[in-house]
Amino acid sequence: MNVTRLIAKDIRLQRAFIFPLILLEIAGYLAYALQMPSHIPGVAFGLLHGVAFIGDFLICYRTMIAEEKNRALMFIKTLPVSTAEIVVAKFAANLILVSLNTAAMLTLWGVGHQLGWIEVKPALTAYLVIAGLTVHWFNNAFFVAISLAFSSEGAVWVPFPFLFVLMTVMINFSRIKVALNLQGTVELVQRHNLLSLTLLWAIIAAFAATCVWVRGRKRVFA
Amino acid sequence: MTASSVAQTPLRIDRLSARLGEFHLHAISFRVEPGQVTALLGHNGAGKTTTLRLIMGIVRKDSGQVTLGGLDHLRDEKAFKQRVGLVQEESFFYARMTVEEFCAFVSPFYSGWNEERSRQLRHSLDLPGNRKLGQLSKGMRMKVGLVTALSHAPSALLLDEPTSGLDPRARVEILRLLSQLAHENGTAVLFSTHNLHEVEQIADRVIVVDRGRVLADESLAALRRGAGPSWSLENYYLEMVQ
Repeated sequence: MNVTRLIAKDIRLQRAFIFPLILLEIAGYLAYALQMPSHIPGVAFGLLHGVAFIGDFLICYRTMIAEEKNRALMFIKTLPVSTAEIVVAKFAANLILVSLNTAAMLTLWGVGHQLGWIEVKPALTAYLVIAGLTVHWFNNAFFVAISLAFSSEGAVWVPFPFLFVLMTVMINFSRIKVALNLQGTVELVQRHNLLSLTLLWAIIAAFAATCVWVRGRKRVFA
Repeated sequence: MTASSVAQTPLRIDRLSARLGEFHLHAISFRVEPGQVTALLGHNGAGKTTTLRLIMGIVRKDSGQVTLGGLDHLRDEKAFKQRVGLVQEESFFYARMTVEEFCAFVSPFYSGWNEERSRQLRHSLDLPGNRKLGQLSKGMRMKVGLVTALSHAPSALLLDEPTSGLDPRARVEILRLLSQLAHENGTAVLFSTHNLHEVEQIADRVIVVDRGRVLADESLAALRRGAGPSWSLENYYLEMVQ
């Protein structure tokens, strides 16, 4: 129950932020999409997720930094709640807000397809929705884990080198696959595509568990 | 452990120590008796805030024990916090929440929350329920902290410099309330301060801390009785810290 109360608090505090953020992202995406040259439609879906990625970061930043700055986290620690409840609630609130954000962007894509505004692939499927949500949960959970384990400022600086590494890996994935002889593994994941999602869910759970452990050992809970 | 047995027992701090950077709290021990106001007196950086935060588990201790009627502050964390209230000096949490929303957020966490008492406290402290916390003065925010700390009728109430930066009227109101809580309701009140006048006004007991050590732990009445007419808390304090 304590977890639910803490989640409700975060959702209530962010309600004035999440909807303008979604509108801004949609407007930003449409502005870019209109300017996009017709010969690179392949990046349209990637761009949609790229915009939502920024939202993942901003959601984490908003839910963490204010409570750190005004010492609300310290106040919450004086309530009869455990460290595990505080950490789990923070992850869960972020997942809910990120789900809203991602769902809005995917709805834009789906509706665009239905109305014939968007003709490029992929058409939205149940798997793509689940995969899209999972990738954004993972991205946001990474930011949340860093800000809980270190600080919100850490969430700004620490993930960016990782993002550059990730982008480099994505761009050069074909070459990496050949060089590291990963063809078999990639085919396995493609055949059992829920496997990779399950792995990401497990990593999100591991992030939360690690944060409970780290928070319990921090000298000051702030 | 029943609620009534907890209510009648002191808050015991036993050989509590912690290291925070350069600062070291050296195995401090004292008791906060129910029905008494105990002042934790010391200058800035003496270890007052750290002590209060250690009691609430905000700062991690190296060793020592904090108990209230057999409840350990870490092992029985939730039960302990159900019976202890802390009002922090900087209580500017959720600027966009109104006073009522803030109380509504805090209340479900406490099994002993009394909504009628909360309403009475808000009324007697002149707190407008529909005002946002961000629009309140420091004194008003301190009062909000007091309302939430007192509405679950804690056995022990801890306050970190409750009158710091307050106007004279708010100061008098809060000191009167603390005295009333201890002497009429039997709450164990511990407040940190560096204001000697406040200690003389309402404290029954004074604990002098300096550089992370307890230098003195005395009943003010006993100190006054044992010394001559020229005794003053100011001289006593200076003697201790020098």
